[in-house]
Order: sequence, then structure tokens, then C-alpha cells
Amino acid sequence: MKTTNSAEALGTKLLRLLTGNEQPSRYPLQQCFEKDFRNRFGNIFANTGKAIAIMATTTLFCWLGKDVLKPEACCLVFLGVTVLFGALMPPPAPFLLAALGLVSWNYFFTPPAYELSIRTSDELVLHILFVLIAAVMNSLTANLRQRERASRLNEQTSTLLRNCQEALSQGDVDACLRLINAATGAQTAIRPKAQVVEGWLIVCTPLSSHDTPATFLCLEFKTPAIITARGKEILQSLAHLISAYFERRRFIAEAEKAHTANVSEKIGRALLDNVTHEIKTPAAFMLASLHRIRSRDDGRHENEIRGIAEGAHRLVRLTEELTLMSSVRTQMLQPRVEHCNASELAREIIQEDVRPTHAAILDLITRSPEACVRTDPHLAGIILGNLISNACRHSPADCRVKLTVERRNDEVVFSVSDRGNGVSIADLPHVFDRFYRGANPGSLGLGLSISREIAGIIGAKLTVSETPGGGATFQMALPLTEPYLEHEDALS
Amino acid sequence: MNSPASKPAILIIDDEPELLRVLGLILRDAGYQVHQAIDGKEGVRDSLRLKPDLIILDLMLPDISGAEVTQQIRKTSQTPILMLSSNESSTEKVKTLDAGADDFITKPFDPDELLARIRATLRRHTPSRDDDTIAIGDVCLVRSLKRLQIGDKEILLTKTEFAMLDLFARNQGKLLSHERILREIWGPQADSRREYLRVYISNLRKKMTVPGYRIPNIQTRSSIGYRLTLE
Repeated sequence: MKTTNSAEALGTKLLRLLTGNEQPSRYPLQQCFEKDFRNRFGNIFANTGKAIAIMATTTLFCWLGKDVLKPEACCLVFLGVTVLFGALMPPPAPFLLAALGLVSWNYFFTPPAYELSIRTSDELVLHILFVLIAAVMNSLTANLRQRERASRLNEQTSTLLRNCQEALSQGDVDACLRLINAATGAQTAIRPKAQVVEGWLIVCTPLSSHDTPATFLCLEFKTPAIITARGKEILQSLAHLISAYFERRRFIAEAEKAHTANVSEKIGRALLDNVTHEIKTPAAFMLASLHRIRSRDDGRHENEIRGIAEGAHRLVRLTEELTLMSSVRTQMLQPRVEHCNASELAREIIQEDVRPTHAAILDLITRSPEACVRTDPHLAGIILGNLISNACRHSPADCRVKLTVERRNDEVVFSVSDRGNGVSIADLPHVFDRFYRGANPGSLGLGLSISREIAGIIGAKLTVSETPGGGATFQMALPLTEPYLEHEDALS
Repeated sequence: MNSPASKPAILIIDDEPELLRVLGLILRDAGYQVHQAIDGKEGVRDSLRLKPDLIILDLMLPDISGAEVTQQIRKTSQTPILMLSSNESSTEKVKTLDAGADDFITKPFDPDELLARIRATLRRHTPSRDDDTIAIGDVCLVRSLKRLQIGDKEILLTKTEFAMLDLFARNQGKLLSHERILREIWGPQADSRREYLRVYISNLRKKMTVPGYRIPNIQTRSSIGYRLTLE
């Protein structure tokens, strides 16, 4: 094994001496990123000089032995030297060696000496053979060198990509950039487009599709660089690798964020459900007990019973408002849009979202029975239920509350009018503000502000005005939509 | 099951002793036999042992969820289940309805409304799966002929409307969630119809409006579902 190693080392030294390449192990990859034209031409001049020196040495050797060596033997010596050194040197040196060898042999060693001539048919055959062998050998070695170079380039490229991938899998982007720098001899950086220094080469655009502004893998070469097509391909692959790493990192971060949000939403939901349950359950048995007391009472305690019942209802309403506000704030309310006939929707809301005592003093007026809207009926019901509940509470005992549904241009307007004290001019701009109660006892001032927030979620407009003749009118406007017609034949 | 002559038995499953006590008094006053269970597991056991005529189930129990209790009861019994719900989120209610519960009532409830619901639920006749003709009030549904008759009038329905009415009629008085209706009528394509479910229901209601007859109506329970009832 040792012998092989030392032979290899010797071969490498020889190769280094002959080719002038200082780091043969990086040779194919680095050639993809040559820094300077001068290097390339410098190599050609150096090799030409070496070819001339080799042939001069060979000519001198044969000259000294010309008494012993026949012209044919000299021909073989020249051919041998041409083939041997031609295999070791890069093009065009082998062709130069062959030409110099042929000329030297003809000039110095074939009779007549010191003259370029072919006199006999033997000489002609020898010359043709020399040219043929040199050409075949040179072309073979050139092919071999090319293949060897390609396989080494592939090997080096895959090693570089593998090492970069390993560095990235450990999250070390700097190590990856250092590896690229070492392989290409460039200064590499990842930076947004705005920060790219003039003269830097941008390799991949963009590195991450979700970055704003777009980020690029940039390379800087200290001297003007020629990058081969293969070199560009390698840089693209590296950029894609880094890009994939950033994308992966972003996905992981987003998944973690979504998971955390999901967990906190679940906790929030469970907390709200528990709080609601713990307040509504006592309210339920309080009201049920009151119901039993009332059924056995002779009417003497009716006012007290009504007072306690109202208190329980108020507690429930406040709880509902608080949980609803919390749902709105934490974006737990996701609208589920349905195609609704506006008048039917209003009827349903009265049935579902309005207390029976309030429904008893409510009149529904439908002026546009065919008008349709696309909305979340549950959320629209919360808003209208709240407006109706407010109107009924503020309405004098002998007055009725009106809910009107009518089409106005491209909108369907639900108006709730009462004959109460109305909203004072000072209160008008603030009625939808959170915690604004005006002269309204027993309220947290949340109902209307929540209604406005929910209106924002379902795309409704909420307004307030004075009812002609006294009182307040609250309006919820939703965009009008075409009626939905199902084309399906009736069963015969 | 208790004999018709004896008082109907109601099992209340709730962890709040005070609510159990008051509900017990109200139901006994109304002439029902009352059994009580203080958690889900005991409720499931008692429903098997006592075979009540109706179960009132609190959705939020300390041990297992209302949906799970319903699922376990439904393995062996079709006793109507009325949920008591206090939260506004519809997910748990829909889950319990889909597990087999019949209806829900939200806390705090009006005891008269609760008693009305109980009476309606106990009165309800659930047609067997094989019945070809289902009669509700003056409405008669002949399933094999896909025909709807109100009194002596025949009403023309589309295929979807008939399937929907058939589903409601087979589950008369039961609250059916949006999800279940969509799944049973349209199957895998259900989601594209979600937005228009209300339109189909509205059309069906219009076609079934024939004055002078006793006709069941389709009630809406907002954000949860629909129910066919003669009330």
C-alpha cells in the first residue's frame, strides 16, 4: 500500500511540475470559476515553453548518440517522447510536441542532414506512421483526460453539495457559505436585492419566494471571472439547496406558530365555555326556582320575583356579551355564509334570538318580500337580536317596536325603530364605542360595540338615526344578492 | 320502557345538585317520575338499568363529554335525549346531535318551555325504517312512489326536496344538524351545497303551505340545523 501511495505522490508531483497546476485536487471544479483570462493564456505559454524544452533535450540526446543510433531508432525515440509527455500535458502542448519532434528528426537525423526532405519511400512511410501514431495517441489521451476530468468534477461537485447539505441540516448557513467560498474562490453572501453591491454576481432569484424583499445568493470574485456553463449549473444547484433550507425553516416556523395559535385557541374556547357554564347554570336554577315560587305565590311577591328574574337575565346577558366580545377579539367567529331570503331571515331571528317577552311587542314589516342577502344568519341574528333587545328595553310599556325589512338600491336594510327616549345628539357619535353607556344603567356598554365588530366581520353597515316623531332607529344594511334558482325537474 | 298507564320516567344527567333538585321538583309536579345521575358514567349505567322514557343531559359533565354519553346510550337504546347547553359554541352541540341526541335547550331555560319540549318529544311517533307511508298531521308521504299528499292534493316535489322531506319525516321532531342533512342528501358533494341549504328548505316550506290543513313545519335552529314538527 505504501509503495502505491508513494508512486501516486510521485505521479502527482510530476503532474504538478508538468501542468503547472498548484492544487491538482481542486483543478476541475475550480476551472469552472477561473478568475482571470491571464491564467488561461499564461498556462498555454508555459506549456509551449515546456514542449520546446522537452524536444530540445530529446534532440540533444539523439545528437550525442547519433553515431550509435540509426535514423529509425531516433524516430522511435522522438515518437516515444511525444507520446509519453503528450499524455501528461494539456492541449495544445501534445500537438506542438508531435510537430517539433517530426521536424527535429527530419532536420537533424534523416540524410541529408540539416535539410527538411523526404527522399525514399521508407522515409515517407516512417513520417506518415509518426504523424498517425502521434495523432491517435494524442486523441486517445485527450479523451481519457476529458473523461477523467468530468468524473472528478462530478465527484467534487457532489461532495460539495453533500457537505453543504450536511452543514445546512445542522442549521449552519455560514459553514455552507465557507464551503462554497473554498470551492469557487469567491466571496459568497446571502442578502436582499437592494443590498447587492455592483459587480456582484446574483446566482439565484429569488432564494425564498416568500421573502420581501427577495433575497439572493450573491458571489463576489476579486478579479474578473469567467464562469463556465457547468459552473453556473453548480452555483444554481447550491442556491436551490440554500433556498430549500430557508423554505423549510419558514415552513417549520409557520407550522409551530399555527400549532401554538391552535392550542391557545382551544384553551381560550374551553375557558370561555367553562365560564359561561358556571354562570348560566346557577342562573338556570335560580330562574327555575323562581318559576316554582311564582306558581305557588298569590301575586303578593310578583314585583320581587320579577326583580330577581331581571337580575338573573342581566347577569346572563353580560356573560354572553363578554364571551362574545372575547370571541370577536380572538377571531374565533368565522362567518359561514348562506343564501337567505331577508324577510324569512328576520322571522327566524325573531323566533330564535329574541326573548318571547320582547317578541310580543315587536311588529315585523316586510316591504321587499323577495329580497335576498348572502350572510351568516347566526351572526346577523346576534346583531339584530341585540338591536331588538335594546329597543324593547328602552320602549315605553304601551309602545310597540317595529322591525322593517326593505330593499334600498343595492342593499337590504333591516331597521329597528322604537318610541323610547331616543339617542341624544351628544351620544350619537359614540353609541357604537366600547364601554360607552350614555345614561343607560345596568349595561357594560358592550352590546352595540360588539354588534359593530360583528357587522365588520359579515360586511354589514350599522347606523343610527332618530325615529320621526321620537325614539331611535338602528339600521343594519347588507348587500343585496340575486335570488338563487335551482334548476331541477319535479318528480312526476 | 314504562307502561303507558304509569307515569313517564325521566332521567336527568347533570353534575349541579341544585339544578337537579329544582328540575326534579318541577318535573315531579308535572307528573313525571324522576331519576337523577350526577356524571356521565352513572348516567349511561342508569339509562341501561332504568330504561327511562326520556333523558335530559347536561352537555358539560365532569367526566365524559355529552357527545360520548349520547354515543354510549345510543349503542343500546333509542330513548329521546334532550341536551341542556350553556355555551354558545355550536361544535359540541352539533357533535352531540350527530351522535344521536334529539334536541337541545339553552340555559337559562323557561321551565314551561322545557315541559313543552318534553311533552312534544314523548308524544312523538318515530316511524320505522321500513314504513312506506309516513303520515304527519294531514301530510302523507309515500316513499316507494316518491309522492307527497296533503289532504287529497298531490304536491310536486323535486328529487332533492323529496329526499329532504323524507329525511325530516323519518326523524320527526328531531333536530337534524346542517352537517347531517348535507351528508345524507348530497353525500360527498355536500360542501358545495352548504350555502344554498336554506334555499331548498325555504322552497320546501312554500310548497307545503296549503291552507286549511294540519301541516308540520320545518323549524330553524340558527347555526345548528332544522327540525320537522307538528307543534
